Amino acid sequence: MKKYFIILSSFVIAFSSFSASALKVGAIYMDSQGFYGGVAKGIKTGAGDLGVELIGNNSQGDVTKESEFIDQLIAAGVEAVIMSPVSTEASVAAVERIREAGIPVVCYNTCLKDEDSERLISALVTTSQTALGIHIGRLAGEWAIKAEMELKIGIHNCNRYEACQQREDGFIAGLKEVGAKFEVVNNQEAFTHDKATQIGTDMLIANPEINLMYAANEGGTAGAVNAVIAAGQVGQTYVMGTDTTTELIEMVQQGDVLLAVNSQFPQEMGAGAMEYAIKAINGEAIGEFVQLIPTKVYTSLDKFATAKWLVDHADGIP
Amino acid sequence: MTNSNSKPKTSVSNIHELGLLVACVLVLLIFSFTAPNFFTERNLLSILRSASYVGLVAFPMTFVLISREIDISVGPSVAYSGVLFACLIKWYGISYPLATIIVLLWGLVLGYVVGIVRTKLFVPTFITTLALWSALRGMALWQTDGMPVMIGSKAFRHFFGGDFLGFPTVTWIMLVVFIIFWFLSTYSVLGTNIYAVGGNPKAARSVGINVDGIKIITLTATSFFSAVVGILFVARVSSGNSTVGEGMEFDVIAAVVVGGTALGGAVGRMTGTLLGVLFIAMIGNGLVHWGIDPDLNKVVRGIIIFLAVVINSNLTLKSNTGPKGED
Repeated sequence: MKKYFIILSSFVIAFSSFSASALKVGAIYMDSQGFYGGVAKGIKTGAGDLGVELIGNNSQGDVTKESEFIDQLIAAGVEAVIMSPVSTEASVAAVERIREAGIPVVCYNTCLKDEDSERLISALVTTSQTALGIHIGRLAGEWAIKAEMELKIGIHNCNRYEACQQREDGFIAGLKEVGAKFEVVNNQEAFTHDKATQIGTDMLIANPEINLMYAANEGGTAGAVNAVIAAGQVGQTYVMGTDTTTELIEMVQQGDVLLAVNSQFPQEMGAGAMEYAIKAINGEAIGEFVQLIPTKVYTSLDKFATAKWLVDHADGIP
Repeated sequence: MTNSNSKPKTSVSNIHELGLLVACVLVLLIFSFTAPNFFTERNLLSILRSASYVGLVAFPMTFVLISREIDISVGPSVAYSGVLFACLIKWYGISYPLATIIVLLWGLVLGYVVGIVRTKLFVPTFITTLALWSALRGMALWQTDGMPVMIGSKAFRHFFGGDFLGFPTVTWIMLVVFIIFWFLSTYSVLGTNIYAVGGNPKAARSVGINVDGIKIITLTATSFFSAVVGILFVARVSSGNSTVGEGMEFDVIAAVVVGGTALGGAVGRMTGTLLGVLFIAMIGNGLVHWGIDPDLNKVVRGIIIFLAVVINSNLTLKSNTGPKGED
């Protein structure tokens, strides 16, 4: 049944793009957060005048869905696959099938283990997820040291994704690096707006001593800000988070709760991945295997940078 | 209207609700003595707030389950309604009242269509709402590119997302809705007919009850209140989000079943659902207060819900022989 489904959907995908002359590229996103909208836009931008017919789908952090979609992409005859593998290990078999079909694979955001990446992947365009946490950890630590206080931290995690665990580890490492005194008093999975708002509120009522909330993604960060307001902790609890959206940047500009976010640049990531995919399709040398897209911390003090972000991302796509 | 299958045997339902009430008190005591800030006004209000969103959909869902149907599209329906509401205001400049009316109408129409598909095309509601579960979430994501759609009105956010007369506004709304559904289930002909349809649809039809109409009404009510919650979530988080309400359908169904409603239909009471909603909200809140590992949190929640359902199943087996019939 599954086989027929794959054949049928591949046929539909292939038929719908029959007349197109642009590069046919498959893209696999790991979840449905706005970050991946930025990646998709970047891939289209990266194709430039060549144009790209993008066949995208969302693995929802599930290796079986990822595997199924990879079979569809192979059957649809894509010329390259740009993907953020769900797992460094569990995604290997599916990626091997792409390579066996002679299709180059470019990783963005996440990738396989080094030894598997070397043999299967043409290039990796990413942001260091650990660095994404470290920068905020350092900033939080320096802020606490300057204020001569011990941080009591509540965390909104999204650790069902490996990248989020790396961010959290980086955040803790950053705090330790600068020698801040801290204690993580509560740590819960909360990465969508509604759940993060409720769980964050409960967390702050349970532990009103929390003076800093750290969130590892955009939904968790927005929820943490809502929670601080709902729990009546404005002025006592502050938030530092991850990723940027119009909503988060405006919260940073207000500066009363959200002090800083560390941003990735998904459009640059998508554009870089597409650039490498074109080289791989054309058989050109790629050069450095890893292209690191730098992150940037936006703080409530840097009014110019936040205003510029809003202008640069007027369509709301990060 | 009287029917041998109508309304559960009160004594057993009372026993179940009494048991659940005792369980609620026990949970309350355990968390109060083990988590310093659990038994505080602020936290109890937070539990009420959390329970209210689930409760608003759980009451109509109780009717849906009693009439032997199910709606698993609640979470995406809440998300899409919220996104639609925010988009109408932000992108199309429509006023808040008009946007509210449009979204509520959308909820009514959607539920009506599910009901029609069930009763005229004979497609099980599980299948229809499963399709909606996927389609509505997809529409919400596609429409917004996964980005939050912010709304500007602070007055709207503060009132509907905040407090009124010392209680969360959503709790007032939930209480009004509870009273309406409690009255309908206990004293109205409609309520009696819903139990009759769930007990034995053939018998209900033979005595002149509009079985199709009853099913359409219950499904429409669930969809309507999903739209209501979607709007209230926008007020709560200041934006329409395609990712909200993830897994809400399971929270709602779990609360209803824990509250004593049988998945097999015909058995269930609004008071039980209210207790079920509060019970699950208290557990979720208390586990956060304990600060236990988030993964373990899910395990504990699962075990507690499972145990509650096992107890409920044994009690309802005694009260209901398991109706068999058409539909």
